[in-house]
Amino acid sequence: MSDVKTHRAFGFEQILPAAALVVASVSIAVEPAIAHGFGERYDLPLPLNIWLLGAAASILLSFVVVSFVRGDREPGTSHAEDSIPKTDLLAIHALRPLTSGPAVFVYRLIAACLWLLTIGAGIFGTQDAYHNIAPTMVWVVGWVGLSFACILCGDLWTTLHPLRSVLDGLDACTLRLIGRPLVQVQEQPSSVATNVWPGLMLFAVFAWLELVWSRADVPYALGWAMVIYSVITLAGMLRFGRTQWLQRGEFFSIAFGVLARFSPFEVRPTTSNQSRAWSLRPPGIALLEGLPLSLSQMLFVAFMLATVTFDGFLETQQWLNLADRLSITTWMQPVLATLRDIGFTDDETISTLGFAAAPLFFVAAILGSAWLTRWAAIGPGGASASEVTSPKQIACSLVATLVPIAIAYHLAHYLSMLLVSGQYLIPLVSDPFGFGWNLMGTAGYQVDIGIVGVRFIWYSAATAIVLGHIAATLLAHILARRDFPTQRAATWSQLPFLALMIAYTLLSLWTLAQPIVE
Amino acid sequence: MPLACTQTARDCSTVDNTKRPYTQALRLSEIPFLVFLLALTVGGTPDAAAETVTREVQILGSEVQDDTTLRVTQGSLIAIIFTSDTAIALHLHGYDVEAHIEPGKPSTMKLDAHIAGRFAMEVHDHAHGKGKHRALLYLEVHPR
Repeated sequence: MSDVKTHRAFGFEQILPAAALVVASVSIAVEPAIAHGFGERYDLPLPLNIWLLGAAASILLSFVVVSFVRGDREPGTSHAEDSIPKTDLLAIHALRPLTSGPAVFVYRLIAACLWLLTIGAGIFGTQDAYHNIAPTMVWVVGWVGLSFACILCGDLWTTLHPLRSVLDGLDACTLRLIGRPLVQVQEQPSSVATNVWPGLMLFAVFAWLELVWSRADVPYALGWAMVIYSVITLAGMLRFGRTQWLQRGEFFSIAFGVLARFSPFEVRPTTSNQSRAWSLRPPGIALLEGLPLSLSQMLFVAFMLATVTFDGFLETQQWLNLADRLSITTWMQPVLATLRDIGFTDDETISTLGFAAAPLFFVAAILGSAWLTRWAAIGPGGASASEVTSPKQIACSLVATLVPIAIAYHLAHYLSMLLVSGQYLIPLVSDPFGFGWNLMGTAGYQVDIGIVGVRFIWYSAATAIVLGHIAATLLAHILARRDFPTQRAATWSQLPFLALMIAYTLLSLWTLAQPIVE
Repeated sequence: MPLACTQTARDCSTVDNTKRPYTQALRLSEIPFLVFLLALTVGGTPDAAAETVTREVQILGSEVQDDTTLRVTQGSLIAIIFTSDTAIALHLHGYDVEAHIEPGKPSTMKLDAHIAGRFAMEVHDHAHGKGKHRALLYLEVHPR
């Protein structure tokens, strides 16, 4: 572990400012040529009756979970990790070829080729967001599509990681040519990384690019952003070893890993000391593994929750009004003017304020609820103070139980976008660069914006939110019975986080019920 | 586990009956599927007999005077009559319909509202087509 400490000193201080500088210079250099925002959504707001129904169901079912669900284990007994029921899918012979070495090689090769294609299209292709495959590949397939896939099908990113494949390929080449591998650092695959500060900082940069950056749909800028990310990731893996960097600094691996814990499938590729695994498990239960999280992991999860929610809030009239009011205040004028001079639009500056405030708000709410949890367990719950961990420890455990609510909102918010904007792939695969090719004969495909019924979107959104809420309260319930000494303390301890969960779910439903404004 | 069941089907059914009471016949996992089916039936096709709905929109100084959201029902034919004090080009997103409005002269945008959703109508301004511009108004097509 000693060399991990020395590694920590290097890295961010050098990489991050450089990356920020290059991103900023790219954003200044590029002139956008498109008139409409990419990935536009035409969703109608959730009607009042559906949102009230969803809210009522969530609140009612929360109390059903707390009052009536009884675990088979006594409170305060052993941890649940060892007792997750799993069905080994590799035991089914028909499924084995899907995960065989050659098959996985093909998946990884495809992923790596798509990665290079996206960079190439972004930099060399036409600069119209709808006729260049890069924006669709990055946002619709890469971010929204992969997050859906990880939520539903398990951690595919660890297997597919294109840059890991690139490094593996380079490694094999140097081994053959000069007789030693490219990566000199010894891998430490057995340790589970808990320090994710580097990943948290890089994730903040990525989330800013996703939510605030006005050039996020400009192919050229996206292509270069991917190049920068590739260089950072390859350098990180070279310097610290693949596993170390992927677990600590590579934010996609961390973020998709968090989402994949919710999945009913456990997917693990072959590593140096572990064989591959593919099994079925109850959804959500793996979120309770490895708790309590470290402080950096807790903040990472809180940051994810905040960005998912802020993403929706950015499209509401309420945000627009707030942004308008902020932009005309006298104290903002010099700030806006200064940042305008170095290439940030006023919209970006104002959005950045909200973007920075959202995680602070979430962390404050989580820590406050954790403090109340401890108070409830000791006061009305009757537990002795020495038996209950600190509010920080409680927050680091319970933050994981909020993930299903965020996942539900993410699915509800992006389902129609995935189904509508995802169709752009059909013409784009025939002409990824926008050069007028027709490789597959699909270049003339017209996107059908009415492909899914509005009612279908409404009902599936409300269903997802309610199910996510139930999953969250159930997880918190299991955790309370595990971590608190008595039944009474466990019951009382759940109430503050239950209140937080209800508030969070209502916020999700409220956001879905707001008309989208641009 | 399911593999063991193939050996003696009768045993499995008895096990099922004892372990799964009648009240649990509808499992939680089946609900999303049912909701999906419900949505398909409810979402049905719009009526063939469509009526034409007329809406008037007054634009003064590139701002809409009344409510900035027009609400119509899916399947109806719509005529939006614009009047403006300046020359303005409007673009309805999603439906991809344009209207060029001359000052003081009413101009009509006609469309068949067959797709439900919320669609922004923006001022098409080629002079500064840079960055995001806010929508002038929204057309909400609600399902029947």
